[in-house]
Amino acid sequence: MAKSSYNKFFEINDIHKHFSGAKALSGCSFAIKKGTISVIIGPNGAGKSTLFNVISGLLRPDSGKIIFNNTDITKNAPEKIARLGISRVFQKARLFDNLTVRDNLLLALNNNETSMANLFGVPKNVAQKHMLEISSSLEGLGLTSSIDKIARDLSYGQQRLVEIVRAILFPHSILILDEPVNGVAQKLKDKIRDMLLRQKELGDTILMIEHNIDFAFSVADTVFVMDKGKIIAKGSPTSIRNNKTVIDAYFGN
Amino acid sequence: MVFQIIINSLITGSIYSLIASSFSLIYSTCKFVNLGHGAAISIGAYLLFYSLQTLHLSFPVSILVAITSSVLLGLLMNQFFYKNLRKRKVSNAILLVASFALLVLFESIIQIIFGSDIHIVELSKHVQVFQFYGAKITAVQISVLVTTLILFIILTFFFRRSKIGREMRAVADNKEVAELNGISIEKTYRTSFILGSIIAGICAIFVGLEYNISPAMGSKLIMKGFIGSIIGGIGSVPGSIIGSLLLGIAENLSVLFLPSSYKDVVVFALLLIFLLFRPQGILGIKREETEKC
Amino acid sequence: MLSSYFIHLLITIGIYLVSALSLQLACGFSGMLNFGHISFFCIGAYIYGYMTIIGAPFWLCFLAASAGTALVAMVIAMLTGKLRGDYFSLTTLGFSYFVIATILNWREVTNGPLGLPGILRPDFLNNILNDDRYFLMFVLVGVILTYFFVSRLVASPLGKVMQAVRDDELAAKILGKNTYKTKIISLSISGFLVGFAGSLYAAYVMYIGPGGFYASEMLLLLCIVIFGGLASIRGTVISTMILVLLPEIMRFVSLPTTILGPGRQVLYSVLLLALIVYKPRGIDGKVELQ
Repeated sequence: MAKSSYNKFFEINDIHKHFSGAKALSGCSFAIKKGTISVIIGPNGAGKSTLFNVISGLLRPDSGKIIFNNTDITKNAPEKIARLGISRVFQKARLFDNLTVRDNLLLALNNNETSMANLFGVPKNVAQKHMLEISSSLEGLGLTSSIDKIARDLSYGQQRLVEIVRAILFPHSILILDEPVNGVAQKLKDKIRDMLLRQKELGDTILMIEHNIDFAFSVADTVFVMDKGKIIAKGSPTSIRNNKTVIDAYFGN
Repeated sequence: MVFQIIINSLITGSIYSLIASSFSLIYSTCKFVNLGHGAAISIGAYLLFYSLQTLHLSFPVSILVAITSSVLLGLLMNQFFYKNLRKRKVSNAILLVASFALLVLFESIIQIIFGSDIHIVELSKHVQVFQFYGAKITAVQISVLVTTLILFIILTFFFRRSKIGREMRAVADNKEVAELNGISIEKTYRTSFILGSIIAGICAIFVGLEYNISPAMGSKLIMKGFIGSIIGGIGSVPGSIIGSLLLGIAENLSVLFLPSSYKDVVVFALLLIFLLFRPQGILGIKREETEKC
Repeated sequence: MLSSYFIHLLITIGIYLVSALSLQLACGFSGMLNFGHISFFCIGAYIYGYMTIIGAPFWLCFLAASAGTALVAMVIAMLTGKLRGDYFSLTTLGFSYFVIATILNWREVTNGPLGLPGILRPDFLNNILNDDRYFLMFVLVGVILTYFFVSRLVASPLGKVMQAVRDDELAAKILGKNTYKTKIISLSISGFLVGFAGSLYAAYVMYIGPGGFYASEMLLLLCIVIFGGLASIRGTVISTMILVLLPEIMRFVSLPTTILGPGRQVLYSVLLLALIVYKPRGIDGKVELQ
């Protein structure tokens, strides 16, 4: 009785997924609290990216449910899931290579390009509002001068930053990041950490996969440990650090 | 009457299955659609004709010339163009465009050298016809059926037993794993082109003997081969054989219900239907839509 | 005074330019390699021709040709929009053969292999367009309208979504874009424009037939689009002029007519292969050849 009165913000329920024989997800279940930063860690091949692909609607699970804001989104198409408020960053930077930084960011802000009204341009006041949002989001990241550069001309670290900015600009209530600081220099890692912490201050919810344990533990409220397709431990960074099950999973038994 | 249709279907189907299987062989190993394969057929047919009628070489020698020319052209396309493009990791769509350009290029060169006339290859003035339950079948047609059957039996053994055959299947299944097991990918590609072109050459000989030789024959035949592969399952050589037989049956059956010129419409309508509703064909495996994110 | 040969060349360039710009829209800007583009052109030409023969007012003929082709393009896009890139191209290739086969057989409408003679030019202003010089101006207006329309479209928010779908369809979905719908819109607009080009052609030659339509014309359009550079409108203009004029030079080298046809095809196929292998960016390409 008490359960159904809770607002189910984000819940993964018993997800199973296999690929031609191998089982990637075996009964993965957990829930995220609104306004927190949750990090999923775990050894390679644990199924973390597969889980994110299932959440984003890029893969269909064999069974199980994903509930977001009380809605069952398990079988929804990726674009529908995005519009419900899930913003996603992939493992490798995926900007639109041949478009400018500005265009990449505008794509996150515009949401009805295919309607007749906007066929040849957005109304002036909307365009101005978007420009302000974009320039303020790039401040402090050393990217303001790159706003009209073509995305593939940026360095990898810069691309990563722009991608995260884009995901933040996209209207969302949960931000899902797959290894945001992978392959990125230390200075940029700090910038990304600041961006994520600031988002949390603004009330945003973040779920991410991270292999870099230091980075993960420096931002996480909750840590989930995944191994062999399911969650094997959950808790604060400190409790996880000393958790025997986790240590066994990482170093084998 | 029914029997005649069955015979005709088998013959058409056999020839199509020769094209389709060689085409599918290249597709399953190299994983792209090689429209240029049509040119390999064209050149085999034209050189058969040229050797026989102009150079007056003996039939066995002409066959050899024809098949060799098909293999040489196929190899040329692979070594000079596809290998180069593969190194640059272009997409499948670009390889398709390149293969289309190669098809048109070589067909045009053939047309310039040999002219636009339609040629018929005559082995002998006297055509031997057999009667079979009220249906007629010629000696050439019998040899088509027999050769095709023998060829496929040989191919089956080749793929199951021989080292090269198994290597080709390994590359077709999973390129990365095959490479880790020490198989040379480029060598396997080259072998599949050689093998596919040999079959193309054999097919060219039958087309030359049974039908006729015209400048656009390559494009027309490769489309039929491609359609047969799609119907049967493009990654699968047995599938393409079945698909081609079905195609041959469909073509010959349609003559019963529609004017014969509508044959092409039926054939391409079939292609569209399969590509849109069952792209993996009858036997093919559905590709898992895994995105490496 | 402009010689009639020169006028003919300019009209030809104009018609090819509209076709090439519409292919650039589908291919360079939206990432859809439409091997059936020429058959869309053909459909537009036949619709226009048929409509003038049955006596419809000229504006309706053009509208029917463009809108009819757009409708066909829309149906094709709806059916193929979820297919992988090379399968899409193959389907359009198959479709183009289907169109030719249908044209050859649907004699009541298309007159089969004989084609439709007696197509009329638009009859406004006292049939002034029967004079090629004025027809050239008509074509020019069409070209200018197409040029500006396509330029504005690709710079608009919709144009950016199309390019995003080209660059990374998955990432576009993740940003909430309906990529399927975007591709349908893109191909439909491309179909509308090339249908219009087809109607211009039918009006100019005043005859339409199924012969000589497929391979060399498709090859030429692909060359124009890649030589000009994918996603470059300016490049397309320049490359159209160069590539349409190129074989005209062959005229001055007296070659036997039997070689002219396949010779042209050799020229274009070699050019296309050379472009793919050595200079995939073309003159002004903005996009990697993927």
